[in-house]
Amino acid sequence: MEQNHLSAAEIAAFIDQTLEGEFRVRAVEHLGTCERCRDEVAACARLAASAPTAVTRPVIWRVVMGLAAVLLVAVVLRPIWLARSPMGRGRNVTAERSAPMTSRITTVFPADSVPIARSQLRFVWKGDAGASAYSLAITDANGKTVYVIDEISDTTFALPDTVRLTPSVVYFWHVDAPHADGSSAGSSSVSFRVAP
Amino acid sequence: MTLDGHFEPRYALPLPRVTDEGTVTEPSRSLDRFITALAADDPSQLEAAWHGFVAEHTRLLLHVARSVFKTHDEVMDAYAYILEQLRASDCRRLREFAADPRSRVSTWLVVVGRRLCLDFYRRRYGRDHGGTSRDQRAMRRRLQDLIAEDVEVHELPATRMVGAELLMRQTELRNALERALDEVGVSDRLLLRLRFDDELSAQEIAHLLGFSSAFHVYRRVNALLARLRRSLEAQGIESALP
Repeated sequence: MEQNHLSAAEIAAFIDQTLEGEFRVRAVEHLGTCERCRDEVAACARLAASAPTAVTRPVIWRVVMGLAAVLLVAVVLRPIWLARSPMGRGRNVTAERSAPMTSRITTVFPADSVPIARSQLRFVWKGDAGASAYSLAITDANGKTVYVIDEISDTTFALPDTVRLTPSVVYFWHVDAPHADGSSAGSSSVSFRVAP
Repeated sequence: MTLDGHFEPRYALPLPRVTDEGTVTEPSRSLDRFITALAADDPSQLEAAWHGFVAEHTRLLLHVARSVFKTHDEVMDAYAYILEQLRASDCRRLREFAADPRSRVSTWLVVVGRRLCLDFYRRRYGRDHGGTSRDQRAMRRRLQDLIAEDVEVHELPATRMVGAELLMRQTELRNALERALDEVGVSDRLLLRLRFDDELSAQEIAHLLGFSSAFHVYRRVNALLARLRRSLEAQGIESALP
């Protein structure tokens, strides 16, 4: 049966998420069944994501150097600023600690690319104030999910022996914690390797 | 197109205009200027605006051409073909986009440029570009495997099914999977297709379908796979192995 394939404008809008209402519904329905259009969306989304910009290396380098200079000045001046500011004198550490925690989860172990024995593979992270349970996911370098577990009540998790990881291959792990209000906290994705 | 297969544009191609530092010298609103120049019908103004538009997007178009063609000559021919087609029929494509811009111009140029490259490939080689053939993609299809639980090697059946019996079992499995997929919503079906048929990363899918993070994609995919497993079990399919 002849299908009405998506136009170039529709595919571009779908990739940019600017296709709205019934147009997006139609696109989603069509893409669910049309390999050709889905193939095009996948290829073009990757191309668009990797497309070069007009900003070139020398310009980027200048921006990086500028930011580094600002950072350096901030680090040098911070002790002076703290000493002079009201917050600097007699700081209330307890009050500081009771401030709302960031919604970011910090991974502790394993750290980036440190090879570890399989028997010692225990994931550890710093907890999130608004979370009652955590989810942990392990993916390979292609983004394929190797292992996922939900409802972890602790901030540490030992990987079951049944989960097979190839020695020396780089994997990634991250933790996610959904909150009751619908928001969520997450960690960055950290690489690790199992020692041969 | 010449006898040796090289594409020759009908007008002088504006070469990429790049400064010593590599910064493209172009007006920021080059498409608007070009469309305005088209309406003004002033040839000198039009050429200047066209050069500006090309200069702004040359790197992007070369990037698209390189995704389809491998050699430098092929890439440059495809680039020339894209520009030729963008100016064809009094710049019909650009006019239509400018009249109803639904996306960023760069994304639109990626889609249109890639389509033109594939068209150019067909004209030059008389066949479709192999990189996106369905056969190749079908070979990569792993959804059936992923729905199955991990199976140990020693659990594989001692006697292997052959020929028609194996084919029948595979067809039965595929049909059962299609029925199970029909039961999920269109958005979820697209999510699964993008993940397993097209092998997009969770990050890419999150961007396309509006998930807040890749992790939310993983969660949704896992929930859907569990649902598909239950559906297959209800149809009497216990294993993905034929």
